[in-house]
Amino acid sequence: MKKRTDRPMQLALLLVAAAFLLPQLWLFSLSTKTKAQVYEYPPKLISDSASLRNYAAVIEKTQIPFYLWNSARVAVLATALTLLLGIPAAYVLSRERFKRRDGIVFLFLAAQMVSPLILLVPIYGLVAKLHLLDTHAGLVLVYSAIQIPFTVVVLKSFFDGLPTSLFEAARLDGCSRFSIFRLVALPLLGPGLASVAIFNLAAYWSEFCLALVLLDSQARFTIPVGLFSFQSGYETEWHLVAAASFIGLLPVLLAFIMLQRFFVAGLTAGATKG
Amino acid sequence: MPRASRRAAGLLSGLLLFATVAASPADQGDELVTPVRIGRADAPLVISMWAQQEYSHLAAREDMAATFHEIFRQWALAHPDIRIDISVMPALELHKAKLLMAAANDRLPDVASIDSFWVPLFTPGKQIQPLDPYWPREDRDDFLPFTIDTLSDPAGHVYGMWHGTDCRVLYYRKDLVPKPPQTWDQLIEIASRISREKKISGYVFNAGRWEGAVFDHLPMFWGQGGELVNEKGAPVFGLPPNREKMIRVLQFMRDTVTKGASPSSVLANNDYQQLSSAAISGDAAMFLGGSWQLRDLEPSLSKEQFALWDVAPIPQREAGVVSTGAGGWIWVSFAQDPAKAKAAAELIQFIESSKNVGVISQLAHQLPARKSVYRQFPFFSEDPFHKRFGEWLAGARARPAVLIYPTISEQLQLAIGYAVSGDKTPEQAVDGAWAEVMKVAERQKAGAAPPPAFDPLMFAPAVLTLLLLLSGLFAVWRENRALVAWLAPALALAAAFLLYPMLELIRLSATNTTTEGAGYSYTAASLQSVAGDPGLPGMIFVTLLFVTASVVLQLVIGLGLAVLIDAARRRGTWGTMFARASVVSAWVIPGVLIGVLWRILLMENRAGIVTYLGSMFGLPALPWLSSGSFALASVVVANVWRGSAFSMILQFAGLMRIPKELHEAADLEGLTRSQRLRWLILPQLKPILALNLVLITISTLNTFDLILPLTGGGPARQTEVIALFMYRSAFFSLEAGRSAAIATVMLVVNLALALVAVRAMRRQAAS
Repeated sequence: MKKRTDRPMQLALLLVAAAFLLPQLWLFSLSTKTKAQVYEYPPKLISDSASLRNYAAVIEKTQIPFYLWNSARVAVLATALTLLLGIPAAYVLSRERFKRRDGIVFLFLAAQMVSPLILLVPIYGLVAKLHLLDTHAGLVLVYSAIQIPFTVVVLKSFFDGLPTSLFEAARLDGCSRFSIFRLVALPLLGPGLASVAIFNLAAYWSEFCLALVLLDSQARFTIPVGLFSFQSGYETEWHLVAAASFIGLLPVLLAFIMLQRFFVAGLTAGATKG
Repeated sequence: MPRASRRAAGLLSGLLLFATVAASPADQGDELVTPVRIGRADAPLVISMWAQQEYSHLAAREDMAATFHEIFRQWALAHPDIRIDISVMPALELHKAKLLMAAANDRLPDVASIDSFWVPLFTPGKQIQPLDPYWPREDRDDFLPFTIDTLSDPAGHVYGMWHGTDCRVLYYRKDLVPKPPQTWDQLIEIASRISREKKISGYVFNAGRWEGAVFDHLPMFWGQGGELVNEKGAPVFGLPPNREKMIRVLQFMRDTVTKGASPSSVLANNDYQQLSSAAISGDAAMFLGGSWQLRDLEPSLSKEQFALWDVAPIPQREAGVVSTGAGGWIWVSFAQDPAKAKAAAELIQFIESSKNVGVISQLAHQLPARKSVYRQFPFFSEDPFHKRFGEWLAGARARPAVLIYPTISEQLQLAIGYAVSGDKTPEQAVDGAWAEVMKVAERQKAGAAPPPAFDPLMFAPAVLTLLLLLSGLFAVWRENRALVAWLAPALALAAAFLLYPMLELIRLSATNTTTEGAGYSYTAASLQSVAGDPGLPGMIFVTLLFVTASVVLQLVIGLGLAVLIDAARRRGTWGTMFARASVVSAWVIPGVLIGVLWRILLMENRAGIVTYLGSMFGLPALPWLSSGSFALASVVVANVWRGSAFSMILQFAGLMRIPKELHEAADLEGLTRSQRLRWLILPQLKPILALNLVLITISTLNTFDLILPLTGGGPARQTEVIALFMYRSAFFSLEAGRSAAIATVMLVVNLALALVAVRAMRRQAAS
């Protein structure tokens, strides 16, 4: 019986995948072409002599591997810092009652709504004054600051959803605020934490404007800066950009698939404890 | 702690340790040329250089990389006491903004490759240093006249060296156009006949919202003797006799569409790629393009087909006039220190020596800026195309290197959009552009006031930030001391990098400063000029449509995807992960690239993927990007395609929170799928849905990245959202005070929305 009900479900999943993958298929097709085939007519999904040579060229000849490394470093450090500072704040904003609470929540909500692009010029000035231009530390601090409001707001709403009874019970048992946080709240946060982590990782991974503006040395560039470096005065080598962008895509997708397990891990944890 | 969490914590801390300790391994060994360095690592004199990737030893093309590697190696051998730290930067407008910020903070590199018309932004003589003290006159005389003229000041100093140039020409197919048209009337007559008889486009050109649309057509204006600016650099194109000449150019562009010579899809052409692909797919008999496009056509067409193509001077109002525009990137030196200035000038000359220029230009598909190369280097002296390009270049003109040019270009882009679409008459379009340019010119004049001697307001943002942070923390401390430690780090970081910049922004918006940071005074003029922008009501309307449509679709599609995937997961259907990953993959592509991808998919000639697939099923071509309503719909679709993943992830995480027991109860009750959605899922999901709504409303409001390459806000202003307008005014028009004012308006809108959202969420929580 199960098999039969699965059919429409699989069809639906297939349609979803197609809707989101087909446009990218063309991007992939571009990445297997030569420069001359980029413009060929009629357009072919698989050109004659299609190959992965562009990928080899990008990996061997360009700085993309270093940029990948830098991106990974910045994204991981910034995500860690964001979560480290954001989780405790979100926790007390959700679980404690105090007068300034609503005011602080509002400030975070408001702050998270401001596009960092609006603030590009003053942020550059500030980072320059701190002598952190052209360092990963500066980029990590700015990135974390930008994503902290979002992180706090989202995590708070996940903390809000946890059953109050659990916390009451722990408090009656005489647990300190920190132990309740560590033993009760954190383990139940699985799905929320995983989604916030993936949001932050992906945001840091693909951020372009700040990275371009705050970094000067190519040795520190992140992957989006590297991708757009293919854009030269007149010609843009789209077949190479396409290959490089797929290479840049893979780590985030892998991170997503890995973090995916914690969505489910959180759920089971919730089920056994609740 | 459950095992999974512990493993996650272990994994994360391992990663962290690795990321903190390990450094980037880009600079290796003691070779003379590494990716980041030219010369010996321990050389006493160090100069920094911002180059372009495809014009350096890091080019993705092997022949180019090898050529530059050898040039740099030779340089390093000859100059053992100099080290060059090289970075390659994207050739984008945003790079210009970066240079401007670096200039304001005294962090410019010693040598940089910039677009020729950026020169006036960097105050020649103050930031850009003259090259002539180290550049012999005989060598300068070898360069094409316009390259020296454009970059010289009245005192005879030269502020840059062209590295390769190009010119605009008419490409035509000899089999369809036996004799190339010399005048506009001839062109329209031939092209409309071809369009009628052959059912292909007789003539295509750039009329989309971008700089190319203006620059391609300036030769038609110059060819009549028109001038954009006078000798002092003040705009004159809207005054007689120039006004009539500009109107004639726009009238001609409009005529090509009304008289059937060109399709109205030219309104969506915002990249030379669209012209090349129209030509290659056999969909165009003539196009107005750049000299480098020859190298797009040649390899993509068969030998016989390529032989059908030829080039001619741009048709003019009257026969016998040759006029073309030359673009190009240039090397400039910002080095103040005499030793560095000398080294910088010598480095530039070494790269662009007559020995190298021919080879590099041929590889880069550019035209050499040196006259001798057209005589000595076989490719440019013998190739029938390049010989003629060289002749036409001798009389070419470059964009005027004046502060007001970017504004003129932006307003003329709009004028072209209005005139070609028929929304305004050419007269109205030119006069409208002129009025806007004059407003900016007035402001630029006013902005040159000397800076205030002492400005106490300068410290207000920092002081206010500190006060707000401390008073907030103090209030919490008085109530419950223990909480301060939980909140302070997050609050402090956000205050430093978000609150302070916001307050600084508000301060800037009350000034008339420019990005170059000359003088400023406090005034409401910036805010007033934003509020009085004639395009504002239209932009607000477009923004509302774009945001509403995107948000509603994203929310609904995100919910549908989340519910579907949650249901599939609970049943353990195969392929769930694959479907989710494919949705997410669309979301992690950088926005600009998504814009480019959709532009190519929706291209409105035969070679456009959607049009091509449609034609296989006999569907007619639709104006995906060239008609206002279609273009807006296309922009929304691209944005929803990208953004649905965000809603899906958040709502999926929300669904995971719904206790299993509730689902089991629903199973027992035998709820249908819609009942389950209505009575179980939606109520449980409500808080997350509300949060999601707020988050995507804000991010959509601030979205411009994919619109920029997709339509550039065009046709005319029909897809120009406020965020795009802001991006443009910050990076394209240099008025930092004004862009801060626009940003402040955005800030206020964002904060107002935040207030509404918080109220709504609180009311919901109370009920």
